[in-house]
Amino acid sequence: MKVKENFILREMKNANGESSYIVIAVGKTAEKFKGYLTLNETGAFIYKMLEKGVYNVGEIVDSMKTEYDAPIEIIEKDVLNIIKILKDSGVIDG
Amino acid sequence: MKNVYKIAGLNILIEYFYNETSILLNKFKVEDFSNIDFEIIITKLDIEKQMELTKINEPSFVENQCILDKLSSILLSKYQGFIFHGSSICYDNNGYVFTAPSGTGKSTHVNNLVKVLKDKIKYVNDDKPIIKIEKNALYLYGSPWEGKHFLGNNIKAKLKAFIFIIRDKCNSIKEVDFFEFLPKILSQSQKPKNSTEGQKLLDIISAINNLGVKFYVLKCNKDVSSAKLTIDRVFKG
Repeated sequence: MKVKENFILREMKNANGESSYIVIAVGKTAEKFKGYLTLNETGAFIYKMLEKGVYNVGEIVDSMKTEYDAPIEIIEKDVLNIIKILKDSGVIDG
Repeated sequence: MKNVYKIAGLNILIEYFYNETSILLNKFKVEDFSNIDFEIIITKLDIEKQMELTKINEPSFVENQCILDKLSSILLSKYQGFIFHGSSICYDNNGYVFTAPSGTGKSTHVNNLVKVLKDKIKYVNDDKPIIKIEKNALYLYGSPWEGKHFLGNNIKAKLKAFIFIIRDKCNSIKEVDFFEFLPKILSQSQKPKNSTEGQKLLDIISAINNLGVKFYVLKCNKDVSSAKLTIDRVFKG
């Protein structure tokens, strides 16, 4: 699974200094993918892994286990949820 | 043909083929060949690619689009500027951009403002103004792409507010924050051609958040009375 070409991730801070992350399309992809996606911290972490490319969901879950102190079921649920959003939006392949 | 044009405060040597382009650019022509910031040279290949892309078979129609494309890339990569889709005016020395998808009624609303305020308002550009950060402030500039009524001037104004227009039966306006307005700015900005340009565009847009610019969403009909809302809440607010 990998993020398709011509998408970029960007952190944006609001006036309170809180971060959110956006994903926009550039080039030819921008003709089809209009607007942008918003991701939170977790979503951005998963997206960055998918930018490099992963074999399966398990890889992401394992990485997140070391970063985040949360029960495995919650991590898996979050990961599957984010992947679904990215797949449905046409951002990732595979 | 080769001439120097002052666009967005920059002296640009532009080399092109067709007279139609010369007419479009004419308002921006200057005589100073000694102080050039950069060049835009259009080739036959540029024009062929643009004709292929747009499926327009008339080279004299597409040449200016080639210039717009190259200008957009240079503004993004070197000058913290981008081309925006909107109808923009200057009132009381302040710049305002009205934006919305094509056909919504931005030009109609701006036209209503002109009817009420008459010569207190000046068009900056009715279709594709240039927005640029200079010395930590945001500026609005005219451009040669002035829309079907050729409304615009080669002027500069400090940008005070963005107003997104939604067509509605009744008139109402609300101020929104940067994050709520962000999708609207992104959707109406000249699309970046690649990741580098995309990052530059996002750099500029992020910076806009901290430059004291206000954002509004205006719901309005075609009636002249809708102008009053903008005048009271945006211009005088």
